Amino acid sequence: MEEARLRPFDEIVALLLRTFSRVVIRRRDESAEVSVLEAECAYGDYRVVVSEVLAPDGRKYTYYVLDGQNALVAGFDNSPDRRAAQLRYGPTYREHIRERIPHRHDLSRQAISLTEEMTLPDWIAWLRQHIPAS
Amino acid sequence: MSNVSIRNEFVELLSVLGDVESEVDDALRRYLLDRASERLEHCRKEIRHFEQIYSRSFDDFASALASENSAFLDEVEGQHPTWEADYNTWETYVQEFERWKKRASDLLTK
Repeated sequence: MEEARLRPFDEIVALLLRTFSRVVIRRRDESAEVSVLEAECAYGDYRVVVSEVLAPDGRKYTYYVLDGQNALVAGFDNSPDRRAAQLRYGPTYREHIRERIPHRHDLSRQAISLTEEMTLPDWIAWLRQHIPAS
Repeated sequence: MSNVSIRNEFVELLSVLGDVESEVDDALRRYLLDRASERLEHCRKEIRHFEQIYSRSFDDFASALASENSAFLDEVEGQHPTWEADYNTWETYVQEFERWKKRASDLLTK
């Protein structure tokens, strides 16, 4: 039981391995209190960068697709972002500047929109639907 | 207070050293300080890694990103297209470092 509790990313890593090619785990640090996973993978000609953090202040994630020029094609994350806070709160956004707001970047970061909280399986489903592996 | 079973041979040895309960307290405090030091060193190493990448502390990085002036954000996004992943990991180690620092301090003072 202890072993299972301390390896919360087993399923995520298994899903990455089933879905993508050239999966490289850049960081995997799992303890009872904090767990961090960072991985890079290939999706057709695209580069995929995934990170998951489980910490006392909540779950943090980034799911990014980059093209051959390292430009962001689409990226979902819930990191604090001034632009996301502006979209959600308008003129009072500075009161929420460190708040984690799920959002999405598109078009080499020229566009940003608010989203629901994303999970890896949801993101993979979105990816397959919107960005076919080239 | 919680009850924990201790192997009889350990109790016998501890009683040679002195009062068993205070010996156990002392041993646990030292063990926890060792573990806290390990975790602090691990966090420190990870924090240093990101400080070298972004040439600043996490607090400075977060403040600059939140600034009205978008020049810093533009620069970061140009050089580090997945900076948010770094932000999340970096912040997490900074927070963990602070928690362990307080725990170690409490162990030394209580």
